[in-house]
Amino acid sequence: MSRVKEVKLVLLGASGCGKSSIVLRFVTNQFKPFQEPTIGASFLTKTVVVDETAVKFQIWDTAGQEKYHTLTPMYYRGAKAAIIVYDITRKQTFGTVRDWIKELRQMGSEDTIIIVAGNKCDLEAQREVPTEEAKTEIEDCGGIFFETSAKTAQCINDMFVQITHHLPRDDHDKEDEEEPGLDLEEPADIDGGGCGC
Amino acid sequence: MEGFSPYYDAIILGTGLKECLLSGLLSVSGYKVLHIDKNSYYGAESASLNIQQLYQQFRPGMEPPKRFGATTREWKQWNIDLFPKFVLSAGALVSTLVHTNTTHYLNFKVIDGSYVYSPAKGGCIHRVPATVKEAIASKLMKFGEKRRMASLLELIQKECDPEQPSTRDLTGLTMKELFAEFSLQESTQDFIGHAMGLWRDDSYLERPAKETCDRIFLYARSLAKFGSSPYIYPEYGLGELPQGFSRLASVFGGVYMIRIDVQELLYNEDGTFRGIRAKNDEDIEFEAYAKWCIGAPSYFPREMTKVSHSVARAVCILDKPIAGSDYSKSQKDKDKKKNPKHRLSSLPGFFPSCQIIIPQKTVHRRHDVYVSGMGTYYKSCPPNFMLGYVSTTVETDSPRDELKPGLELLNKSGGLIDSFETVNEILVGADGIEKKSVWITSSYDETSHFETSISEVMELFEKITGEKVDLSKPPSDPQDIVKLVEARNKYLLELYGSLEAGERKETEEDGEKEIKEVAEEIDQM
Repeated sequence: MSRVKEVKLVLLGASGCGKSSIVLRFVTNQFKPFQEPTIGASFLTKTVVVDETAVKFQIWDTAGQEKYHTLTPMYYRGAKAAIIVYDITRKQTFGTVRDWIKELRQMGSEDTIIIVAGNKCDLEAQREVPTEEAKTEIEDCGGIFFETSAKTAQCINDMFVQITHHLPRDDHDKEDEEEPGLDLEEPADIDGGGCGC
Repeated sequence: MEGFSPYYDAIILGTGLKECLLSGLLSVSGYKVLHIDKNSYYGAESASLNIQQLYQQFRPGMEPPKRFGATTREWKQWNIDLFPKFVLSAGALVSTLVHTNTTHYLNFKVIDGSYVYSPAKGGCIHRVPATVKEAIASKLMKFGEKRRMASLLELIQKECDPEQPSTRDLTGLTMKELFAEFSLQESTQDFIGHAMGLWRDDSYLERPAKETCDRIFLYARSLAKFGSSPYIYPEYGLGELPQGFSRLASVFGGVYMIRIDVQELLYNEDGTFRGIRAKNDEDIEFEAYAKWCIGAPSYFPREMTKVSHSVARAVCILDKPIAGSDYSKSQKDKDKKKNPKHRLSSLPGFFPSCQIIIPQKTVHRRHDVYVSGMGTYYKSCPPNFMLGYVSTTVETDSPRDELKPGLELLNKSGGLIDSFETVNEILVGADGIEKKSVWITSSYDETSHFETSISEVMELFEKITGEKVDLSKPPSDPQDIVKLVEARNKYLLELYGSLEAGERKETEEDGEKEIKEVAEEIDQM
């Protein structure tokens, strides 16, 4: 197996669509029916192995900054993929998907993979957004469409595996261009070249 | 506004670095923060602008020239700071980033060189030696003087290292006296005090020697950390710092709102802060309440602030490296050994970055002029360009002229294409406003680093909460912070609920007690 590929993935979408629940289901395979608004996690990681390649997802949740549209440019920076979540039982949450795509195109890089997830598809009886209509619209915008349920785990893993298929092939030359940042936690060792020598 | 909770511990106005750091620190301590900015972007004064935004701000109605980029995407390759600063590798900002677990949001890179200007031979720049070895090898001074300077550096290293027993009290004498003890020439004193101690004028000479020695020790420790220079800088500009801290605050329950017009500050009958009345970009009016208000000077009426002094600054665009900042082969090899990951600015079109101090006396001034340059390596601008910055404390009635020595230095290679100059008053909070439970952060000063900004925030945090930030402690477990946040939320709701019933005092005391119990429980775990 070759080395681990790190992928930054950001979540977008209106509040209360189940963004955190999707992450929780994917990362820990759990579901909490009364998930509190997200606090406490800067990002979560999970590694999946597909076709002998390990992909480590670094998943950034909005930390509530989607509510008043105050996500920072830093949030979008370097994101290889974005999952835009809406709630199939609330039509207005699908209405904001287009705005999120627009924002992502503006703030992110051109080649960010866009996935749109119609969540809560276990609540068929309360559905307000028809599958086919949504699918056509999203695919027209160049997005990859899924209907998911964090509650029943439907399509959650498939969605993340699908993302790995869309990642660009390993390009070693390009990889070299990106120099890693400094490790700030390294102690300052003054004897190794400071005043003392 | 649907689902908007109007009750907080603190309302913070402005999303500059200091305000965002304070938000972050308050949030990880369990306090509930509402953070507001009037602009449509984060960072206020400490934002990094793209080239189009720079033109909008300085030359409204003018588009940037085509050679700087023709599309939004090309404009965005520029990340231009409005006040130039670097981060000292072993300084307080780095400790703060580590302590709050914010380092993974930012990618830092080391600055290639730290220099001092010398007027000899028509004016040139010299690398600042900060180690005994470098001092001996430097062409800046004669051999005897080098030995004397090395002895002083040895003393500082021994006395300022907290891990070594102190044998001498350096608070009892002035720096002038300490210099005299080592018989150092005036030019060497200037060099040590300004290029390594980073003092901007000569008032330090009459102050306790310990202060200067600690600063030199910090400089040397920073230099030892990553080699090349004592400074590091985040990719995409300083504007990343407030963004990183704002995310920290959000992750722990801080609420962020931008594009907000703060219409009125509300006060209680006893004159203490009560809250704000504001309007969002959809013209919806709302009120929010808190015990404390902290903000940048521009959010308060003029009489609540006072002018400390003025600073002149220039942001410059260059298409050639700064003369004399080229990296010598031997220096390159040395730095590579120290920090193998640092590939320097050696790619084509990547110009070396630097910090240059023009000591006051060399240009007949009372304050130093600071010059710096950075390029594509830091994602500051597209290849074959670099950004140059000049700043100094205003001493005369024609502040723009005071920038000249710096601009000339930048243009020595003939590469200075354009410059955008500003003169800003440094505003600080007026005396006594704390009585209103209002705190005003000061405007960003002309120092080359963030040490003063961080100590200001730490002092504010202590004054406001009565608690001290212990940077030596590792970051708290997020689960524990969440517990604190939840206890705090419950208390705020109860406090404000009973406030209307006139029972403020009792609930406030009970609530504080309850939160303390949660905090103690966490400490014992």
